[in-house]
Amino acid sequence: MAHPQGELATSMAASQTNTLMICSTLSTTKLEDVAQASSINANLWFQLYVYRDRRITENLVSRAIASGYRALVLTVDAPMMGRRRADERNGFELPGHLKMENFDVELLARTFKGKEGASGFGEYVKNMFDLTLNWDDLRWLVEYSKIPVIVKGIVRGCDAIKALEAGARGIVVSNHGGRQIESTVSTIEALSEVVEAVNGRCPVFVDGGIRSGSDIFKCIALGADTVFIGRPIIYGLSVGGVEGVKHVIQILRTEFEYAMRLSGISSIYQLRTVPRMVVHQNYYSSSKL
Amino acid sequence: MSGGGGKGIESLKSYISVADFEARAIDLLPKAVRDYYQSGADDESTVARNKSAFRKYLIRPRVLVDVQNLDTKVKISFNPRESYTFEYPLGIAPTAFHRMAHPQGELATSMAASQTNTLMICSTLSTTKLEDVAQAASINAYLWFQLYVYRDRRITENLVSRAIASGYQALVLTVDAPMMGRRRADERNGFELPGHLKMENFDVELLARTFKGKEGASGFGEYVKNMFDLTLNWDDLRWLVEYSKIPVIVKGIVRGCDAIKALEAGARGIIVSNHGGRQIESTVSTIEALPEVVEAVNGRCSVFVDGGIRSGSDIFKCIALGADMVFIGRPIIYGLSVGGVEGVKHVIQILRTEFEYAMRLSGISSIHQLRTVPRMVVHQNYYSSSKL
Repeated sequence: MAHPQGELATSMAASQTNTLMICSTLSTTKLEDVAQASSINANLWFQLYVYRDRRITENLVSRAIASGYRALVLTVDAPMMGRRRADERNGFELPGHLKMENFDVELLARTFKGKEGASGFGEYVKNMFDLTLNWDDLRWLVEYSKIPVIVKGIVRGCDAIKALEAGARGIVVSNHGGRQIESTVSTIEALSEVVEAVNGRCPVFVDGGIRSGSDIFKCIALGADTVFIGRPIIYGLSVGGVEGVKHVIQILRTEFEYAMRLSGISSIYQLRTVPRMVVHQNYYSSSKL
Repeated sequence: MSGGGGKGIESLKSYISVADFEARAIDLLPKAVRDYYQSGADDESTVARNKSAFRKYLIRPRVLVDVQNLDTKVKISFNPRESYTFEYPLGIAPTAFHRMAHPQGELATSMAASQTNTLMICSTLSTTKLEDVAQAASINAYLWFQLYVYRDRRITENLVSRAIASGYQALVLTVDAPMMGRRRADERNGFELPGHLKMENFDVELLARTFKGKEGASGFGEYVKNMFDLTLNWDDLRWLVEYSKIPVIVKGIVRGCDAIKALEAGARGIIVSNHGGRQIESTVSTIEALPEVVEAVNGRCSVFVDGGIRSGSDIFKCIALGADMVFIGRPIIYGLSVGGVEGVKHVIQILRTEFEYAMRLSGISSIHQLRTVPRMVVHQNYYSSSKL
């Protein structure tokens, strides 16, 4: 929807900059083709949901592994899709020439149809997603998958611990770009609690709201291992396809380097170990001042 | 002078939030009517704070919880023999003069409440007689009657007897209005009820004597000034509890100590409220005040809250912080203005749907879980304490 080359462009840009890319299940390009467009040593992870019909999930997992994806990213903050009012008003559905290429046509015809007052995408999702999704399903996926499973959509420390105990190998602190539960905590606020709960037992990632190198700096300083960006990539894609995405990545990397240098930090290790490189502003207004 | 006529069901489909109803109602209503409904006291900081304070409270969702089957029911018990079960923890707060919003006024509100099994608190300052409101409701409707204790006790006694006779199940005594707060827009407009409407719960002679618009003051204010009682105190509550055969709920408390006093005086429920920000200005928002009252009451009676609730996540937060049920005021007026019975039903349905979304997306499948899972909703300061 952003650019005619879609995920192929994103994948190429990622390969050319050696950037990890998490490919979405709801891709307008088949996961095999995305892998194909990447370089041979590209870092590709595959994001998925556990569907009501387990065979759909099994099919996606097998295909992802066969295509060389190195990890799965299970989204856990979407037992149902959040309410996006604009989508409802617009009766949003994928433009006619596009398809959710990871699924077969028959399935799509059955469930995806724009309706007045509700978004067509929402209807599709309502039928595919699983309101009963629980920790057993994560354990099942960890068991079934030969590649590591990372859990995306956690903001509570206790949930991070549960994910670890269920076999997850990484946590993405996320609130789905603010598209799911409304009025929840921001990911930068939630990050510290999860980092503390995980206590080094697995990598902790974060997404949501990162728009500059200093945002990345803050996330790493507060304990994240890697930061993911969502909308900025879409914007880069819209504006300039492969080059647009590469440019967005380069801007953020450059800004991040500036942030490091101008903060007297020369390594990620220092950034994560020098005390109080980043503090909440309340640090400056506590009662002793 | 009345608001928009009834809209068909089809055309309400494009209204997907309370904000949509509010925006349209503002368009439809004449200025003086709109000002009356929307106004807060003085600088209107409290009416704004009631809404904005919700943003300072954050939901901390749980993941991977089976949320297929939701239980949104709440049970309100006045005593071992008297309890009511509601499908959702959402009710209609008492607001005045519904016929200014829609020709059917309180009859429409009552019908919408009955058709959705929603508790309605009928206001004393109704443009429809309390008997007629009860008549328009279904036989097993939930109806409470809001009143003030007037300078002339006989007026109060008369209202109470009539309410009981008409099947109202509880009284709601407003205690935050010994006098009416100053609403500047009403004063500038010289607000008075449109000529074809009356405060139907009172006799005509009484009205003629006290209610008259004056330049520089609101006519309503003059009426109220003469009827209300500045000496109102805890003895009056005790008197009402004694006099009334049905439970008395106290509305307008924000202090924990006052909640305890109300309990000791025999109240069976507390509504944490600041009268929609229309009475004392620059006071605490109801969501901020709620935990203190919940803690003081300590389960000895039901705690309700109104003020600023505009979405399902607002309701979610109130319940998580200890309220048994939430009441909405202005959103019902907006629904009424835009679409009469269907408008009110639509507003209620929107809030219920949003509430269900909030529950499911937070990994909460019952009201019990919402109230017992630790820290489902926190003040944002939780995330900026000194250890960070």
